[in-house]
Amino acid sequence: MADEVTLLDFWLSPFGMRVKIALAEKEVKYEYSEQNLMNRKSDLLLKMNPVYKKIPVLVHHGKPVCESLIILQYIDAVWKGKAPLLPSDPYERAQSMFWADFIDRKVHDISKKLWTTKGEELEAAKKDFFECLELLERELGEKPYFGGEALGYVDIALLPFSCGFYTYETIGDFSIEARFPKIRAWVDRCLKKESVAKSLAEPEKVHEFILETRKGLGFD
Amino acid sequence: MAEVKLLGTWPSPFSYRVIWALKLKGIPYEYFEEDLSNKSPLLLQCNPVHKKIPVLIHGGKSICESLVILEYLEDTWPQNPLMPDDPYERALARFWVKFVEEKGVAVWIMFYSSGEEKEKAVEDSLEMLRTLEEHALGKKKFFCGDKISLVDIACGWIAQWLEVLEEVAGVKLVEPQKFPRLHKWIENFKDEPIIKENLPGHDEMLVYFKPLAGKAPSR
Repeated sequence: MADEVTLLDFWLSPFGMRVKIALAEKEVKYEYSEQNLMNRKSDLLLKMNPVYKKIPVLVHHGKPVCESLIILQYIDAVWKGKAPLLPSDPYERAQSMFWADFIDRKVHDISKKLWTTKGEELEAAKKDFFECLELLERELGEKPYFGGEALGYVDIALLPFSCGFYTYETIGDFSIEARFPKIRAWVDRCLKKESVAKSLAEPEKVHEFILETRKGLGFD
Repeated sequence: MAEVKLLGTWPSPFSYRVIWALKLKGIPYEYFEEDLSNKSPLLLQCNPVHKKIPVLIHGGKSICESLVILEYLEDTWPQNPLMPDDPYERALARFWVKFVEEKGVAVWIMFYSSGEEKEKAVEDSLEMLRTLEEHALGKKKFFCGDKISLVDIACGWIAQWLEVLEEVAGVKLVEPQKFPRLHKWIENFKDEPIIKENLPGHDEMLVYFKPLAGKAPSR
């Protein structure tokens, strides 16, 4: 029985990349539908996500699931047989949810400030960013992945933001490898996995896009 | 069964979410009232990242963030389930929990701000409530059916705290004629025996929140 799965996404979205990694880990076949968010939103997107009108949206048997972390939990529950994303132990699950929530609350907004601010504001954003990565690096510890021996929910939640690392380092004039060697090593380790490599946007393309956007905002 | 402790503060709707879930599942626990102006060593040790309440401590291990705690309670004590079984229905429930968490903030902003910022927050609050009224609440008694679920618990602050914030801020958001479903849901929620017995007093809340109106909260 074919599972009808469609993913409405935008190539640059870190939230969409999360879903792509999860679907790849679970070896789920799906139709990819690129939504051009620069133009008018498609009727399909407006129908499938009337509340937020945002991507990603996973459409399974015609029914939409919205919000990337909720989609990850859904994928984990439906395609149980392979590559569990969340731990089975309730306490470990809670820890995974806590850190994914932390990533959602902090990493996205702070990392956006790394390329939309300058001067004192940029320095403050860098400080916040370093604090975030410090906490995350401590949480990672000596484990190969946040999920332990295998890639998991927290890894997938954080990985897409690594596409912007080269850009943040260049604009902010710092090195993630020098300050957070475990995080850098973790990114490189994850990139060796096909599910990750084919799901993340190329840092050069992200960099190009961000530089163009910055010009539009009046930078440089 | 390992002991359960809850660190909370009495006027916090986030604390109450956990209390409601514990009571609905019949889980015995010990409650500790925190003074946020003088945080206890236990709180700082158990929630070093955010230093906030509520914190659930189960068998010595701490779980933070009210919504994470609710899911933990559901996973660990499956009796009296607070979530649907079906993965799609669960995803829908989680969607509304997240929605009210993100967008509900507008009501608190309305309460703590003044002038233009307050006006914008009133608009945002009404939009959030309209979305709940039109998209989330159907003909069912509660968000997911006949029984209380995590969605009702997450929205619980709308049933009691909203009224107080409206009164103190001088803004009526939930007018019964404009929000008939929401109005009915509020009545149903507050009428549930366990919820009824576990709500902070209206008058005490007025006394607590009145001096805070129009001023940004201190961390």
